[in-house]
This record gives sequence, C-alpha cells and structure tokens, in this order.
Amino acid sequence: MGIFSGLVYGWLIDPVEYVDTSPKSLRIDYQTDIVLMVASIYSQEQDIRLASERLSLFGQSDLGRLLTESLAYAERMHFTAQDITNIKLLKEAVSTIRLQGENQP
Amino acid sequence: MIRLMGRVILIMMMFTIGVGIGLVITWGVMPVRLVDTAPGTLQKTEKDWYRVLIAEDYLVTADKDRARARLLVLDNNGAWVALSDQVNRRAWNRDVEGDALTKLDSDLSNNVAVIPQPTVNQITPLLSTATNTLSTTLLFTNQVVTPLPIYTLVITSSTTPSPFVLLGSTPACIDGQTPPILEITIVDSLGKPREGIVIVVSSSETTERIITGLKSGIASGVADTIMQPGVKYTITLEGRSSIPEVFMASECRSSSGDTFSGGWSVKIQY
Repeated sequence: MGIFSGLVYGWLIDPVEYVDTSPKSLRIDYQTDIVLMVASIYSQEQDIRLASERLSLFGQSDLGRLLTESLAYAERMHFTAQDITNIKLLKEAVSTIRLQGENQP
Repeated sequence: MIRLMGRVILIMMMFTIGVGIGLVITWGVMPVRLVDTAPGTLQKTEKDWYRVLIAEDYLVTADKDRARARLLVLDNNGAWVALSDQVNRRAWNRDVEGDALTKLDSDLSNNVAVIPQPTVNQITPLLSTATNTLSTTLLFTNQVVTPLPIYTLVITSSTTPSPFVLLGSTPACIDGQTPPILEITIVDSLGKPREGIVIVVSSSETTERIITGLKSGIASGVADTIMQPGVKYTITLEGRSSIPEVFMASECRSSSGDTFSGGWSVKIQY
C-alpha cells in the first residue's frame, strides 16, 4: 500500500520535472536539424575543429552515432541532396579526425 | 489499548517505509525517462548555443524562413525577444557568432509585425465550421480623417486549445515519385504559411513529427513525409484538439494506363 502510494506520487502526482534538458535528449528530428546546421556551416568554413566544438554538447563518444542516425533520418525523410551531401561530408570529416586521433601514439 | 496503539504505529511505520521505497524507485532507481524532448526545454545556455547555430547557418544559407521556423521551435512564444535579448547580453563566444546573431536579429526584426505568433488566431476562420476558443483579434481600421491607422487589440482567452481545420486535400499523382509523399501545408486564418508548426503523422507502426518550414527545398509553411502504400496515416497538430484526419496512399493512373501509388497534398488552417 505504501509502495503503491509512493509510486503513484512519484510517477503521476509529482514526477521528476525536467526543464533544463540537454541536447542529447532531443528528439531525432531536432538532433538532425542541429547536425544539418553544423554541416551547413562546415561546408562553408571547412574547419572540422570548430564543427566538432559545435557538436561537443552531444559528447564526443556519441558523435559517430549521432551523425550516423542523423544521416539515416535525413535520407529517410528525403532531405534535399545538398543537405544530405553536407551531412555526409561532415560525417566523413569527423570520422577521419577520430581515426587520426586513434592512430596517434 | 497499548496493543492497539502499537499496531497503529507499526502500520504507520510500514506505510511510511513503503512510501519511501516507492519514492526511491520513482525518483532514483527508475525515474521518468527523458527522451524525445523538444528544444524549448533546453537550458538557457544551450538555447543560446542553439540560436548561435541558427544564426551562423543563416549566414551561410540566407534562408530567412528556415531560420524563423527554427527560432519558433526553440521559443514558441517570444522567439524574437529571446533573440534580441541574447544580442543584448552578448551571449556568444566568438565575434563571428555575435555578427551572425546581430544580422539575424536585424533581418528578422523588420518582419516581426507581420509574423503571426503561434497562439494568435484571427477571430473569423476561413471555414465557418471552425470555432476558436483561444483567440486574439487584431483589427486594422483606416479612418479617413486621420492618416494613421488605428490598431485595436481585443484579447479573449480560454484553456481549451483551438481546433485545426482541413481546408482541402488532393491526391498527388506524380509518376515516378517513389515512395509517395504526404505533403502538408499549414496556413493561418489569413491564408499565410505558418512555420514551426509540429505535425504528428501516425500510422499503426510509426509516429513521425514533422515541422513546417524546417526542411529546405520546399515552400515555407510546408512539411512532408513518405507514405507506405496500404498504410493508414492520421494527421494531428501538436497542441490542437481536432478529429485526426486519415489518409492512405492514393491510387493513380499513369499516361500509359498503369496504376501506381501516389501521395497527398493536404492544406490545413492552424
């Protein structure tokens, strides 16, 4: 009875409130839009360090997954060829940088 | 008597411990999972970061409609105020970011007066069947004797969300378009395209949220998604109460007489 009351109170009446969320919790369409913006800026600047910095709020470990999922979403949702190309170029550049980082002694 | 008191105390202690265990589970071990949030819930510093991205992307693409839609997604009400506030706070890391924010603020500020806000609706909808319970009426009256127009703002409000209105739907039979596309145009009561509106397209298998004006290459106020032949899709607008509209891929016939699955072009008044 007590546990049940606690569960009802904690999940329904006064659940944990999240108002200050992080980009990692954003829905995939919003995440893809952020990636698209960064990719678009990268296509102009060609500065992969700045591009990585812009995406750093997602966490370096999740960056590969984020780019892969965003590209898949963009293709599934029939984004324009230019947008998809920009995301692909960013993904390739990030992969290259990460590979170089891993190969350095 | 003492035995009864002891039982009551025991029951109360057990109840309290139970509540405690329940709260440990709900707040600590298995709290409400936080997934699929919207940009509006981000922390203030991360909203600043988001706005910088929007502004820098705008510098590259010069796509004002897209930038506007993104700002509306970030701050549904007060998007322009939030942008100006960030410029005033000089909340950026590099000068180029500040330049981008200032340019976007400047370019959009000229249009603010004519951009309908998400909660604003004209009192007279295009279709007489629509009844808006949350309505703001902006009346423009040009008087002959004075050269300046008189603006009268009348605001009435209620907690019930307004319904949306299906203005029309036509099959989109484009030969060779595979897979078929469900294209949705959102307009306000004046017929102007609305950006940043979240449309929920659901089928028995998936639920997609698409946002007008966010995708490049299509007109402002428009969002689209793909359809699978034979699958029923329901369309609702986030924050609007109305009977969902149901669509299936249309049957089309090509010039050579072959049948193929086509999409739909749907127009909705927000």
